[in-house]
Amino acid sequence: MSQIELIVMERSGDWAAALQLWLKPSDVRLFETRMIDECWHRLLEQPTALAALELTADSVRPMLAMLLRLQDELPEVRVIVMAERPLAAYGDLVREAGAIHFVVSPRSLGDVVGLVRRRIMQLKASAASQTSDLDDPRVQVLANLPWSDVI
Amino acid sequence: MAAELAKLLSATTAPIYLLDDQRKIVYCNPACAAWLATPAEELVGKACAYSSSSDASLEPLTVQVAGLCPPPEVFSGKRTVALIYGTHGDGRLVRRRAEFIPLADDADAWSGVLVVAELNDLPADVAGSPTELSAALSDESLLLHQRLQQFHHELRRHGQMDRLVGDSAAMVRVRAQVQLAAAGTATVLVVGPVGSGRQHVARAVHYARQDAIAGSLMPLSCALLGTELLQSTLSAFLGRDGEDRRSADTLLLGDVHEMPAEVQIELAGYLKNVSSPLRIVATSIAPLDGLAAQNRFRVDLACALSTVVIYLPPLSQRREDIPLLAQAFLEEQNAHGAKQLRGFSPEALDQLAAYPWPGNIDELAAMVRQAHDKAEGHQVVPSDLPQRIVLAAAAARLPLREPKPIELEMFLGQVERELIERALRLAKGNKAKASRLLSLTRPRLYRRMVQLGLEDEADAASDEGSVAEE
Repeated sequence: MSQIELIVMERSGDWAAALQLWLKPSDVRLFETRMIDECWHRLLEQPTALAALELTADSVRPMLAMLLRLQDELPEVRVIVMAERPLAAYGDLVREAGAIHFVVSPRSLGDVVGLVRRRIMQLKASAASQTSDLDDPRVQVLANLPWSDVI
Repeated sequence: MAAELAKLLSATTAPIYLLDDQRKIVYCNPACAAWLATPAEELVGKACAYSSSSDASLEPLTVQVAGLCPPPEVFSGKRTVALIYGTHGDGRLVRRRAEFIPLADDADAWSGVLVVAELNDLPADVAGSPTELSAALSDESLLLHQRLQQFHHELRRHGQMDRLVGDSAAMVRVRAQVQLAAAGTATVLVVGPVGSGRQHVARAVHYARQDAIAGSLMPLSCALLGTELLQSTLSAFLGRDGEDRRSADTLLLGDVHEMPAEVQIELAGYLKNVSSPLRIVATSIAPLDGLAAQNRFRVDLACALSTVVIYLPPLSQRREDIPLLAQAFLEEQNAHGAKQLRGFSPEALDQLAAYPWPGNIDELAAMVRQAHDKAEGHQVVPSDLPQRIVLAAAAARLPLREPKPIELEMFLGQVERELIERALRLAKGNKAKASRLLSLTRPRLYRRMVQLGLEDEADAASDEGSVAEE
């Protein structure tokens, strides 16, 4: 697997430490941020990144505003939201705002491994389709010849 | 016993109401009806859903009932004291503390909430702005509850129909289809190219529903789903033991054409086995029946998800919408900050119209954001636009370029050579087998291999000789 950047935004660094236990360093490069602005600037540089954002009782408003803004301005970013268990009732809301996953315990981070793996495959497939010159009819014909799996 | 209980509750001076597991009011005592200045029979059957009383489009009764909504922690089984809101007959907004008691059965399945309010309204000096109110009460759960209400409202606003901008025939048709789809319960498939706003149209189908106020939207990114994640998400969304939660809920399957095969099997099984009132809206870059014909998608799932299909055209096929869309995106940017631009100069609009927009609406929106940042005057002018758009406009003014010729003989030779090489690899170098794969005689295969430089003439002659001897 090639590397992907997982941009983590949280107050303490605890979630990043838990994520590192689950994810192989060869698959994912973790980039830690502490503030929404800092995270946003990093996402602008990495518009296909995965982001893991911590939801706190104080950050519900800016978090949801950020999720809505991501839908409009960086639609290729995929977001996982992490929160402490007392905020579990916010799961539906953050999912509705665009988060692809919501976890309330570091023990649930195992699901994130599968998400990261599939995201890497998706990006690789997308990159492969973009590198071929689809305007050239010869490229299209050659790309559609039979027995492509024996190349 | 039941009659005695009803008599007791009716005589109680404290407002009391009971919600079922779908947050619908199933009982409301006379004190509650009097407090809200609304007959009990009008309140019963209404769902308490997160709402904002500032939304002028909502019916007064809907706003009234929204004020009775329990805070979120009640749904996780926590007994809570929070505020409820009501509007008196004279239009005054009043607030009372109330105790929310979650009701659960033996299996710990949540079945409703009993709400008992205090006898008196909170004094007016406590009932200030939400910030003052929260500070006065130091009530964290109230603060979160208020935020939850407000954000549900903002999510709905973000997905409203009026953001489907355009006067073209295609967009008029799309808006009509969204309205029709929202009124029914059939599954909806939104098909459109990358960046054409598929997700937004899918969300509009949910938010345009009359009962959207009571339902949740659960988007899933299909390309990233595994079977376990699909199972856990569906069971969490639908409630325990696979029991359906609310008919107003919508499952949004984003980019369903990228759903892995094993997840398609799981979802198809789910759709067959569960008679669910859950609405499913999916998005795809291509019609699913076409993908199924190419064996790239399950036929049964393609049929199940394609009851109503809404096609979104690429932006290049609705160029007349470009000025309206660009203006709408510019006004969104104006709303975000202090910088206010009036619009686009006619020259800038001409350049936008000449560009092919391969990235569709998403590309246009990104371009408007950049131009808004760059513009120094009161409107966007051509020098504020990215170079590629200016160049595309200049190229459009040039006469059409002569098509580049193809050297047919050489190209067909390249195709033939590629296919012969693949056949030989498939046949592990066995030329007899390769010739059968290509439906050629062996001598003809040898001749073509020599002509295409795949084999020496001498080797081919010796091989052909052995063929003749056989």
